[in-house]
Amino acid sequence: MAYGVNAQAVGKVVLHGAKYGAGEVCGALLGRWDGAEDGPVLVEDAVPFFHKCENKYSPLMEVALAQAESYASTVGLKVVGFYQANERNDDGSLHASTKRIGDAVRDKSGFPKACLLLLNNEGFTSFLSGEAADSLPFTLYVKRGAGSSWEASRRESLKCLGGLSIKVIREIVMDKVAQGKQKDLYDFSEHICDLSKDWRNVNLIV
Amino acid sequence: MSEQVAKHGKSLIQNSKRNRQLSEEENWLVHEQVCYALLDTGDIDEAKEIVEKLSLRFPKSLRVFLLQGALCECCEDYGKAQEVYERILQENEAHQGAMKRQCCVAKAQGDTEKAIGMLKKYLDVFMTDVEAWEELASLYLSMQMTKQAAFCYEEAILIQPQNPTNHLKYADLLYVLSNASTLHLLHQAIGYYSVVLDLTNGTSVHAKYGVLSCCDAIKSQGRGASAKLTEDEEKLLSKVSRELTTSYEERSPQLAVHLKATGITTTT
Repeated sequence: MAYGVNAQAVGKVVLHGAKYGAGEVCGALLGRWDGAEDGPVLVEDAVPFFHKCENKYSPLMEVALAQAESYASTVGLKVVGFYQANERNDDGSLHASTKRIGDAVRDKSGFPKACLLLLNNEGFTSFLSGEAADSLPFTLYVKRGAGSSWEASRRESLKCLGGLSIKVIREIVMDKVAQGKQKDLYDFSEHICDLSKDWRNVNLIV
Repeated sequence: MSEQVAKHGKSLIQNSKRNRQLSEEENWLVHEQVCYALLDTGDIDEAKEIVEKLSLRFPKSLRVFLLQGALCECCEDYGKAQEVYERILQENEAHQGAMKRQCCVAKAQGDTEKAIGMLKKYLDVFMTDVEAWEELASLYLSMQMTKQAAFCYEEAILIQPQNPTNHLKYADLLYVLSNASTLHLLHQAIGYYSVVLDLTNGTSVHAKYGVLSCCDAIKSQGRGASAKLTEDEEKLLSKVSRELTTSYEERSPQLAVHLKATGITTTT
């Protein structure tokens, strides 16, 4: 099973993590799949949801997923997964709450290839500083069947889209971080506090 | 927030013309606040300078020791931080700051169970500390212990009944805890969301989403009579639905279609 991410998706996840570095962040991944059994899942966008863990235990989670799905369909995509960055730097585990949401995306929207992207916190710091400019700071988790558990995939399963290398994607993303673009990235929590903040974050990266 | 305090606070401290306008007491208060902000933003070297200044000026102050402990935590030297806090507690066994920071050390080391145990002991003594109840709830949620988290929000509500935040979090948890055989929790949640709307003059979007979600869940999970809302709940549902739809149309018309797509509003 192969998954690809583009600069827009990587950029939004990294900016969300950079904006709320001291807490946990999560959101939906939007993408497309051609329907072929071996066909890759192409992750082309991300919708940042929350930066406080309590919001995951609220009706806002279902509301955000429904609205992300609605937005995805207007741009020819669907919700193909969920991303999560844990609060503690050394916490690389997939929490039960994250798995639960992954199951909801997989089962409720009927997308058996739904994936989970866990931001690798230490890798995130190296990615931003340029030390690890040739690897993406994510661990990809997939579920092979309905009754199985979420398993981490090999690094090679996550590829870059648009003919770009990881280095180039990193440059695009770092350019935005350097410009302080994270202050212009709005997640669903912020939208709830001020409706004019648009969680679609259109044209923020590309 | 911390970034702004750090940025502007630093320029205030370093600019001798400006800080001479502060009284001595205010000056040191600002130093303390800026130091905590610098620890939040990770500016360890600058925070160290301020801690040294404060330690020189107040060599026996437990408040400065607390800051030294927080600095050790920021440098991930948890052993040293623990020593500092134990020293403070030897001098004053009821020092709230030190007791709470010990919980922070346990949390930072990933020992959530220990952090919960320590925070519970703290709350046995200081049971009116709302922030501590909120933090305990957050720790319980991270361990999926939703019922225990709900209890914490109940305590917080009893202490600060006029604060909408805890009513909101409690209502959210009631929603999450409910299922087809415990629909009464959804009715309770609607009650708490209504209190939030009352306390926020009808402006809380989160509470409105809460009301809409609860009503939708009752109608879809209930069977027969249990799928019905009371007359007041029906009135609240249409009012909230109308208000939220109008708010979107006025402030965020490009997103109104996605609100409608959730299927929880009643306006056509």
